[in-house]
Parts: sequence; C-alpha cells; structure tokens
Amino acid sequence: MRVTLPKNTLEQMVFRAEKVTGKNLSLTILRAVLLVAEKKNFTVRATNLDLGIEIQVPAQITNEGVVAVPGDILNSFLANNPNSSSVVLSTKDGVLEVATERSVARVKTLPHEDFPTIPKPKQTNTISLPSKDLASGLRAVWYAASPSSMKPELSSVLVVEERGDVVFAATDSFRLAEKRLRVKGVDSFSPLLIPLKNITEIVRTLDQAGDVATLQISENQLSVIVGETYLTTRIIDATFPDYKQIIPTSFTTEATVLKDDLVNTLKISTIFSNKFNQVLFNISPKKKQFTVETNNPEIGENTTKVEAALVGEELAIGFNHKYITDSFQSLTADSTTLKFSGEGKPLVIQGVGDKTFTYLVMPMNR
Amino acid sequence: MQNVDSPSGMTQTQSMDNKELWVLALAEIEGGISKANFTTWFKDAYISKQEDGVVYLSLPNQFVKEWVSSKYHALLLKTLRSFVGDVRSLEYVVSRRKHDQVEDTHTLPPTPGALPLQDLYINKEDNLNPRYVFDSFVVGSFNELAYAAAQQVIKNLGTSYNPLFVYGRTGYGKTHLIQGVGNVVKKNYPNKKVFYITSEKFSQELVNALQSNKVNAFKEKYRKYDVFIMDDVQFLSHKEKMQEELFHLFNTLYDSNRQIVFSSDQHPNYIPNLEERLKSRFNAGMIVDIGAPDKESRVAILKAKSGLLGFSFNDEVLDHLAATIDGNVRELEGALNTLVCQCQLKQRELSLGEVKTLLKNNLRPRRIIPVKDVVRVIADFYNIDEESVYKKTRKKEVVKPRQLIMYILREDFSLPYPAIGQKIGNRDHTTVIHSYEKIKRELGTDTELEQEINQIRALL
Repeated sequence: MRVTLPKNTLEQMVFRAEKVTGKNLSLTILRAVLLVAEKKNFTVRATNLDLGIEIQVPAQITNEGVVAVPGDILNSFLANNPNSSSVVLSTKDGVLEVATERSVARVKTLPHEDFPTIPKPKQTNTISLPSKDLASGLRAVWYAASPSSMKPELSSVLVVEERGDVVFAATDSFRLAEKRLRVKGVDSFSPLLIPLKNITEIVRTLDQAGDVATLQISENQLSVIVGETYLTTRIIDATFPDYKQIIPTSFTTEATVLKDDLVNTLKISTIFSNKFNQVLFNISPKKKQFTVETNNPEIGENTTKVEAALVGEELAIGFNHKYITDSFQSLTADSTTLKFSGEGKPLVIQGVGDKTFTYLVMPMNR
Repeated sequence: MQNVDSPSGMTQTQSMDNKELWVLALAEIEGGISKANFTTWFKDAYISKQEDGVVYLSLPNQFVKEWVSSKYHALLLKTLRSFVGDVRSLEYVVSRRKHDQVEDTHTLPPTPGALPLQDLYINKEDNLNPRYVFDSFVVGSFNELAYAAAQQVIKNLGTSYNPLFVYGRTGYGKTHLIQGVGNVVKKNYPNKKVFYITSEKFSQELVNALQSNKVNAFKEKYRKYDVFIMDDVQFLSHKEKMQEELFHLFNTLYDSNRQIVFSSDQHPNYIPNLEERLKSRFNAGMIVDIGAPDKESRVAILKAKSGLLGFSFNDEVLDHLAATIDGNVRELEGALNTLVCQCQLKQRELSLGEVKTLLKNNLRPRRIIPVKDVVRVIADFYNIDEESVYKKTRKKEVVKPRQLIMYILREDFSLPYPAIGQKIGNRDHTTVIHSYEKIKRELGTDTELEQEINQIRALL
C-alpha cells in the first residue's frame, strides 16, 4: 500500500475511528483500525462489535492495500505531529510506515484478515434529517437515560416521529427528559431505541461530518450516514415505556425563576447537601417566598432565597439536586418554570415560551 | 423413543437436543480457533431451533452475525453435520434479547421514588395490548366472516359496518379480533384516536365520575374518540344507568360517523335485561359470530401458537391435541403450554404416549352431566324453588321449567330418557319423552320460548 493524504484529514479519521475500537475485548484485532486503500478511496474502519464506523475519503493512491494497526498508536503519533501538512502511508514486510515531513514511524501491523466486517443491512427504511437537529435532540435528553444495563429500554434514547415532530426521550425512572423538534418533511419511522453508550459517538459524528444525516433503519441496526462517515449501531429491541401519561397536566404550585438564579442557588446548596444530594424547596406563594434549603449533619446547612413569581398552594418538597441541575443544559430560555403537583408527584420543568423541552423529576422521600 | 416410524414428524432418533448439540459443537470448534476468537464470536451464541434439517443459530448482534456467517459458516456446518447427519443448512438470526440478560426485569419491585413507569407496557392512552395483532390471528371457517368484517371496518372506518358487533363464546378470539382492529387502525391512521375498554371498566369509571361529580368530564373524554371498542358488553345487563350512558355515547359517536366495535358472549337480542333501544342500536350495524374452531383450525392455531413460543411439535402430537381438546382456544393454549414446559424440563421432545398422559389433566370431563346445575340455573331463571322441580307438584309455574329441564338434558347433553326421569324426581321415561316432544313442538311456533331457551343456554 502506498497512499498520500493531508495530515489533518488522516488525523481526524483516525481520531474518530480510534474512539470506536474495542479496547476491553479479548480479541486484539478489535483494538486496531483498519486502513484500506482501494481505487481512488482511502477508508478507515473500526468496531467494538456494538458500534462500527467507516470513514472514506478520496486520496492519492499509488498502490492499493489493506492494513490493520493499533488505533491508539497511530492516533497518538498523528496527534503529536502538529506542523506537518501531509502524510505518506506505505507497507513493507508487515510494517506500516507513516511518514510526515519531520518524522517517520514504523508500526507493527496485525493480521487484517481477522478484522470483522461492518454490517450494512440490505433491507432498510431510509430517512434523512438535518444533522444539527438530530444532534441537538439527542444531546437534549441523553443524560436522563440510565447507565445501568438492567433494563435496556431505559439505558437508551428513544427517537420517534410524531405528527411531523421528531421526539427524543430518555428516562432512568427517576427523571425523564423529552425534546420535540419540528422537522420539515420528515418521513414517518418506527420508534428507535439507541443504546446510551453509543450516543456520544453518534453526536460527535453528527457535529463534525456534514449537514444532512441519512438514517438507515433495519431490524436490529441503525446506520447513520453523514458526509464521508458511515456509523452503525445496534438498536435495542424493547418497548420504551409509554411515558406520556405520567406527565402531569394540572399543577397545584408554579414558580417562575430566572434560570441563572436557580443555577447559582443550587451551586450554593450543593456545598451543604447530604450524601443523598437532597435539596428542599420551600414555596409559599402567600408570603411570596421561595427558599432552597440543604442540610448536611457533618458539614452544616444553608438556606438561599430565589426570586420567583409564585402561584398556587404552599409546598415543601425535596429533590436530588443533581437531577435538577442536569436539566439546565437543555433549557435554552432565560426563565424557567417549575410546576409542582403536590407532594410525591413529579415536578415538571420547562423553559418559559419553550414547549419543545419537558423535564420530569420525582421528588425524594423526606 | 417411540414414534420413529412417524412419517410426518421429525426423525427423533437423529435429532439432538439444541443445547446438547451446541455444547458438542462448541467443544469441537474451540480446539480449532484461538481463544480470543472463540470467546468473541461464540460466547453468546446458541441454537434456537432445528427444523427440517435447518439449524438456526442465534447470535447477540448484527456484527457477530455478519462475521460468523461469512467467516465460520463452513466450519460450523461441517461440525454440526458430524454430530447430526441430516443438517441441510444453517441460518443465522439475531437474538431478540441479550443471552445473558435477566428475563424478568419487569417484575423487579418498583424503586421507591421512581417515576411510575411500571405496567406502562400496555398503552394506557388507548388500553390496547400490542400483543393482539392480526399476524398471530388464525383465520378459519369458524371466524372468517368476523375477520372479513373486521378488515372491512379497518378499510372504511365508521362507514361500512357501524357498529360492528362480534359475539361468540369465551376463548374464541373476540378480544384478539377487536383489539387487533384497534392496533391496526392505530398503525394505519396515526391521527385517529382509538380507545379500548371493557364494559366492566367503563362502569367503574362512570361510578367514580358520579361519585366525584365529574360526569361531564367523563362524557367529554369518551366523545373524542374516533374508534371506540368495548369488550364484553353482556356485563352491562342489569345496569340501567350504564346502559343509558352507553346509549348516549353511542348516539354521539354514531352521529359523527365514528367507528364503534362491541363484543359480547352472545347475540345482543339474548343479553338478558338489556334495554330495547340499545339492542336495536347494536342490531343496526353488522353482527357477526365467532363459532367454535373446527379441527383443522385448531391444528392451525396450535401450529401458530407453538411457533410463537419457539417450539415445534410433530403433526401427530398436534393432531392429538386438537382432537382431544375441543374446547376454546384458551384451553388449547393451556395444554400447549403444559407441553412446552415439559419439553423444556426434559430437554427433549415428547413422545405421543407422554403427551397423552400429560393431557389427561387438561381434558374437561365431558361425560359428567351437571343435572343439578341445569336444574338450578333453570329454576333460578323462572324464579321457582329448586326443590319443587323434583317434587310431584303440577303447578303451572313449575311444570314448564321442569319440561324445559328435561328437554335441555336430552337435547344438549343427550342423556337417556330413563336416566333423566330417574334424576328428576323418579319419573317415568314416558313422561320425559312427552315433555321433550312437547317443548320441541312448541319451539317451532313460540318464538318467546325459543328466546328463553337461548338465554338459558347462555347461562349454562
């Protein structure tokens, strides 16, 4: 093999492929990235058998060839060669030579025949979405999914089309995040459950690779094609809980606050919260007072007032502050409304004037 | 094993249990490839079934499937053939769940403070159980009319057959059919609001609404549905307030061309204590009955169900099942589950002899005739004292029920005349013959009597 290509291009390709390699698997070949030079295209491929990635660019190819090399080695070498503009890759006697203007590395290769293929399902339902929308939707909810794999439907993000909206949802059963995005002319597709652990790679690809994402949905796989990148992930064969009916529709107490005020208040509260991360909200619309209390017997305690417009009944209710703080990243409006339905009922958080994002948190037992 | 010579079933001597075969094959394969390769590609694989010489290998995901099928196909086939001679080919499937995963995660106790997500797997918005789809619905002569009507309803919502009224005895697939309609409509017309409810639940909701003074909210709720499905309407008999509410709901929905579907265990005209105006409305659309499945249909049902359970039994066994259990589909399923359970326990196929022994408990004792029950039901129906039937009294209000009892015992249970006479107060068999003939004669002319008998039959 003999290929010449811009160093930045190769660096990017290897950087992204290396993230997908199977680092903890017993099969050593999965730690490798596969480099393929064929006709006029140069391809980098990696997989951990849960997620697979393939990035293809046109390149100047003198000799065709295939080679597998440890991803981390190649990645580190390229990342630390800041001043080079192009790279020449060539193979000789089971060694891959990577040459930049300043530096030459000879990397031992692995038997590429053992490198697994990446599934490309033939029968698929294909839809297109703006990458930006898909990425922002996933990013708005993924943190609410459960990291435990006990219930696969909870350790995944739901993506579904609903009356012209693309709806994203995730829950770990203690809180739930839902984002709806209006996407013009989106085709209907069956609900997708994307495993949480593959979301970061998908979002990274969407951010970097191009404007339009093509989704190929088959029975067990979802393939995302963005620009030169082909990313394929297992999807979860389960039913996402029908969460809509647990979203309360009527509320007993509502507080509207500036998001930044609440952020800062919770930052103070966190210092004094106990090991259960508990914060106590005391809301008194009559006295026009909203205070946030924390108390840790080993450290001390704190009470902070939050400026708020309040309506409804008096309420004292506890939450895990982490769950509330998590939602701030998805709230784009300056003001936020906290809607309570009384003790033991979930709190609904929404941005003022922004109906696209809904966040539910269960209170803590006091 | 006993039925090796059965021409239809699997040749049992040669077939090997899935698990056993895979363990042997794995041991062989392990020697030939590196440990890393072995654990990566074969750790979570298992044989899910063997059928007509095709072995189905279940793999955890698409990646593994691609690689194993392209790289190890020849090796696997060769290995399998060395143990089981007649392996024709090998198919790969991606297993539905991860192999090592706990199956019953849904039954975990709810964590305190968690969102009430449990039990949400039945869609609460429309109450439909996604399990009921037409894919798993076996159509035969006994239900093809009902099925066709249901398909017609799906095609022309609210216009062709409105209301659709399905009746049939318990376990014949009414709920499956009407929920199937709901599920298809939901899929084909995402904008239509579908709602399924049992009459029992409907009553409860109405009572709750009455108690909390929210009748208007209750009415509003039901009036927004495009497709309204109510199961088991016979339970509304004797409930005047519910019937009235249903009547108004019916009118509102019907007038705006919304589709309405009902099911019941009998024809609406024979539901006791149902208001006339409701009966006439039920009669306005299409009334179809689902009869008892015939034997061929029962075999087809058994095949479909065992397919869903991932098992296949040989034809002889299924034939025997279908022949001995002529009751409803639910009983067939029960018997099938027993067999599947035993198969899993014994890790092999069951012989016909074993199946016969197992099924003994599932059979309903058909020959024992509940004379007492018949008497009680009919006495209750005519509101007379049960004891008086056995006595010598000739009061008019007792004579007719007594004759009816004899008629039903003869006609429906084919009990001999002398036995009937002996059981009903030691009467002569000629008395019984007379009663039987008399009722039979009157049935031809007296439609009221016919209705009464039909109602009684429904109660038995």
